[in-house]
Amino acid sequence: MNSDDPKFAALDARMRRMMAGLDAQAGFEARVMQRVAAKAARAGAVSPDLRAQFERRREIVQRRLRREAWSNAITIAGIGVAAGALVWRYAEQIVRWATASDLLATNGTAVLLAIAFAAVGAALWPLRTRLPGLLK
Amino acid sequence: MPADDAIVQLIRAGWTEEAFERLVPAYRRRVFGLAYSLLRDRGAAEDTTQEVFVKLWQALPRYDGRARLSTWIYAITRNATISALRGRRRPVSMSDPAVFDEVEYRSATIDAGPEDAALWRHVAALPEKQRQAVILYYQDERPVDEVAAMMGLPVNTVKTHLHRARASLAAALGAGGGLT
Repeated sequence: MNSDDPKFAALDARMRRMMAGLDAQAGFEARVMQRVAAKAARAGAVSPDLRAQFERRREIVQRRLRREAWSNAITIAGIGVAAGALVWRYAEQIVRWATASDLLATNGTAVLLAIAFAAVGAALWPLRTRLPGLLK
Repeated sequence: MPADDAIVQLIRAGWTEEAFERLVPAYRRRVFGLAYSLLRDRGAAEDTTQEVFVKLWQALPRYDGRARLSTWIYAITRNATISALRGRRRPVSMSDPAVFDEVEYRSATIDAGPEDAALWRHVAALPEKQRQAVILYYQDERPVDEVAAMMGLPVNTVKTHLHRARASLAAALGAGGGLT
């Protein structure tokens, strides 16, 4: 800019003098630091609250999963007991049917073992993913 | 700018608090000037300047150095100032010089004589970009390229605004016999 131009010289001098005072009031840095500290304190106050909320939610979910694991185990055990009771109740008819069909006569031991393994396997299969929950 | 280099090095090293402590005095006048040139009210400009520094304190750890530190700070300042302008209950426009005169006369001319008060009024009556360029140019005798960076405009555009503003003010100064 052509500050040497006499047309502008007087203007420049006055404008510089006038604008030189354009500044924040004294103590600005201290006020900014106070505002920053207040902001930081508020941010710090929110954080533990959020942590506590998260912990509460986690505890609720863990309890729900444990409850579900127990109820599943009880259901499976109930089905097992009911199946056992049925077999016990109708044992004679089952033996009669097996004898009449000649199944046991030819491969008696093998068939009995296969049925026993299948029953145990079927009973334990749903437990394979529930065991960690049950152990808690 | 050497001060900027030191601040950027502190940010990169993770010393953001130390960087912020240096940044506030280094940029206080520039941020205040930029906010004031748009808001035209010292109280609002001071409040916005504080707001800008709080934003900077929050954003400093995320400064990636892609833009120059000053460019980044000026952009944050312009956005905060525009938000402050929008948030005003009663918009003040350049077409409403009475409002500007009242605010400016009381805030800026406490220590000034009537001549300076009249000059303030002429500055107030300039179109927005001209007024902004003139305030930022004279506040700290800044080079035009820095004024352009602060305003976010090309250097030649700012030169044109400045030339027109100064011509207009010089004419008023001449015509008014010193603007008394």
